[in-house]
Amino acid sequence: MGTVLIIGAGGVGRVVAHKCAQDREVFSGICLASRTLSKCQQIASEIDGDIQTATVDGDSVSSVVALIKKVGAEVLINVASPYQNLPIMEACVQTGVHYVDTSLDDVRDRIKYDYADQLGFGPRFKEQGITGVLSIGFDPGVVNVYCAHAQKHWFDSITSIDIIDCNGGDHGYEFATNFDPETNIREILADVISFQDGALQITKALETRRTFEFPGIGTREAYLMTHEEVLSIAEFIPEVKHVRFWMTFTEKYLTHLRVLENIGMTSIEPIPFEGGSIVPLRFLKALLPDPATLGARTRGVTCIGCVIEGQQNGEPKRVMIWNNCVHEECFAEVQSQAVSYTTGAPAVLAARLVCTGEWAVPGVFCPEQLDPDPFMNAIGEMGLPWQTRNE
Amino acid sequence: MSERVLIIGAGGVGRVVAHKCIQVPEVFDMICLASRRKEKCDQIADELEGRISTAEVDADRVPEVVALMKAFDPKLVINVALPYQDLSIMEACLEAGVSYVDTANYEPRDEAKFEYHWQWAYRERFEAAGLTALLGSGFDPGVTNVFCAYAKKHLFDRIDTIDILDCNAGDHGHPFATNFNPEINLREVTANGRYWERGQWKETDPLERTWDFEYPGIGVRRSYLMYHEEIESLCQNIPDVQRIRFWMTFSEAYLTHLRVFENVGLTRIDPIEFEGRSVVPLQFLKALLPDPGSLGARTRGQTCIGCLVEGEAGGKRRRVFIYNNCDHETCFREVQSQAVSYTTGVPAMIGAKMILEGQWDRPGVFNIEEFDPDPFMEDLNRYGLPWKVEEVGDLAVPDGPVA
Repeated sequence: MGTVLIIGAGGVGRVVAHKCAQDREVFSGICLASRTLSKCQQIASEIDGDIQTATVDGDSVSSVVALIKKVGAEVLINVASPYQNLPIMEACVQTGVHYVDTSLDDVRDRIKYDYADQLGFGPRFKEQGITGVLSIGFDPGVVNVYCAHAQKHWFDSITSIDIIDCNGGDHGYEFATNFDPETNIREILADVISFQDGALQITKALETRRTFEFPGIGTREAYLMTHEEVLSIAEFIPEVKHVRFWMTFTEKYLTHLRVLENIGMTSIEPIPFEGGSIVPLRFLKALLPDPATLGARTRGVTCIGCVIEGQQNGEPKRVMIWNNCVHEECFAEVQSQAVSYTTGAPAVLAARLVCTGEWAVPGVFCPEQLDPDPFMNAIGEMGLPWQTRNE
Repeated sequence: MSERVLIIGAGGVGRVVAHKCIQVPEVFDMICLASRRKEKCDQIADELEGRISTAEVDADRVPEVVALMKAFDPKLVINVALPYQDLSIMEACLEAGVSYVDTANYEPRDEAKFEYHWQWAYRERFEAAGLTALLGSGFDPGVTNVFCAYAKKHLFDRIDTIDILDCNAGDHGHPFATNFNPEINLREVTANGRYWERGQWKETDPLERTWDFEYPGIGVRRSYLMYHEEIESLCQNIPDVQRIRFWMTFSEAYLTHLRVFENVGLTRIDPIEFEGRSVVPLQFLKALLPDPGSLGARTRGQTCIGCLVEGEAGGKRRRVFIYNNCDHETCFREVQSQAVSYTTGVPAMIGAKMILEGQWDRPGVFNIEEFDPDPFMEDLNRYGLPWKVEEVGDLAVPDGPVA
């Protein structure tokens, strides 16, 4: 039916390419592009059937525009660095191509971030008759759709949403991060923004924790953290009073992190060393296992979902909705573990829904603003089935 | 009559030894402080008044040390340089006719082996030359050995067991810092424990045995059974002793830091490629950690090191703890070094004084417990390391007495 242009050839890009190649009825043409051509070629070589590869500079609107025109893309899936969302969206507007991404642009300053810049493209997308779906990975992404689904089918009003994320996988290393250690560690050590009692609140990193029972894994301690879906859900789910994001870390992981922070190893300030200078966090990244090598050795399950409270027919109600994803099954299917899989597969579904018309609403949207039904009906077949329980 | 003394080594301990020798003019005449880097010697000399000269010497090179000895003509050398250099300095002593004192046993450069046999092999040559070599005159080894000799002479008819306990409760206010190479720290805590029992060496897993011992002046601290070099000489020189163990305190936070360094590869000594150059992770770790030289001025608290000795006296069981408390800030005020250097440097000075005064000047190579402990014990009280003896018959000791 059309050609998809995928920008980004990391772990998520690999999943997206594999998943698009499984759906040739919709994605008759696939082009995988990134700054480093060899990474694209490596992924293409793992997949049966024709996949084009290309070099692109995601920071440059003209570079992206030229590539879109060259491949004749109908939809673009952006899984490159989140710092490149805005130039890539601009290129989509200029060429009239649908846009899908999996995380908010530039979250370098996690206290001041919001969706205004990206949602600001709305009128221009609408004018062009194209659709932009923002942040449709798992969290943000699928969890936003869970909330929209709950609001549409299960509740008259929602008062509280707790998004809970547990990666129960074990890679066998004493310490490693599942994605870029620089991003990962800064995210964890940053101040925490949450939505409570109808207002944004700021607390210290790793200060607030709560115990949750994660289906398929067990009881784990989860820490309140900043995550971009908190902001959009607080805005787009009417009347909600509390939106919080919780992520589990093992005591061992946190111990490593605290020690590394204590000695200054997580700092991004360069320190003088042997006549030059070194940024400690970058050096740490060089020491730690390459996240791309973790997939093959990770065993276990992820559990990500929402605990939602509210009223229906005047009665209080509490529902949990979640997905379990098995690392080794993901790896067998797409040569990536579950963290990449759960991010990449929803993006491919969103691109499909835009191309097939079910989500082809002109404008730019966060996932919870769109009709959850076609997404919820198909996400199981994409490899991410959901389960619920009343609590 | 006072004598000329050469001090080799201008680190924290060298500073203490120089300060202390200068304080005792009736024994120490001119002092020469030498090290590989003369400017470190000069800096210490600047803190002192009179009677001190400085020199550059590579202590690995016997002829250089001999030349310095011939030029300065000391009666005795106090070696507080690197333990790799003990043998070359002992060689130079024989050639130049100089007596010898050190604080730590010789170690080969490429392996961590704490054994006396390399130095004991010099016994006959020192004897023939009419020179004295006093080994291990720091605190532990050193003062702890003298405590044992004192216990044997004055407190017990028979000693059964000795537990040497070492606690540094100093707080430098950093989450982690070290006076030493972190790689050596790590090696220390990952090495098997070893102790002596009924004529045999026994091994434990690293940090396997613990003892929550109450240190006078400090409180209860978890102590870990480790190997320490004085066990090797004490088991030969204290007759009838059935068991000798050494325990050292580490805080949980210290151990956690070291383990994390190891887990993430920060203690690696092989270079890794980083941004177009090669970087040794351990060197980068050192660059991140606080400068060891800056720790002395900010360390608060005390050390407590002592010997828990058990045996028989007058037909009855007896158990005593002989120990010293040393306060970091007091040391720093006196000699601009904290207690870890102070407790090593002061006994080195006293050991040298014993030889120079003729009380310990027997020709040969000796561990410190082989000499009469009394004048040394007196001088500990006099020169800043007062000791106490406490009866601790009621204390619970791990594994009890040896049957």
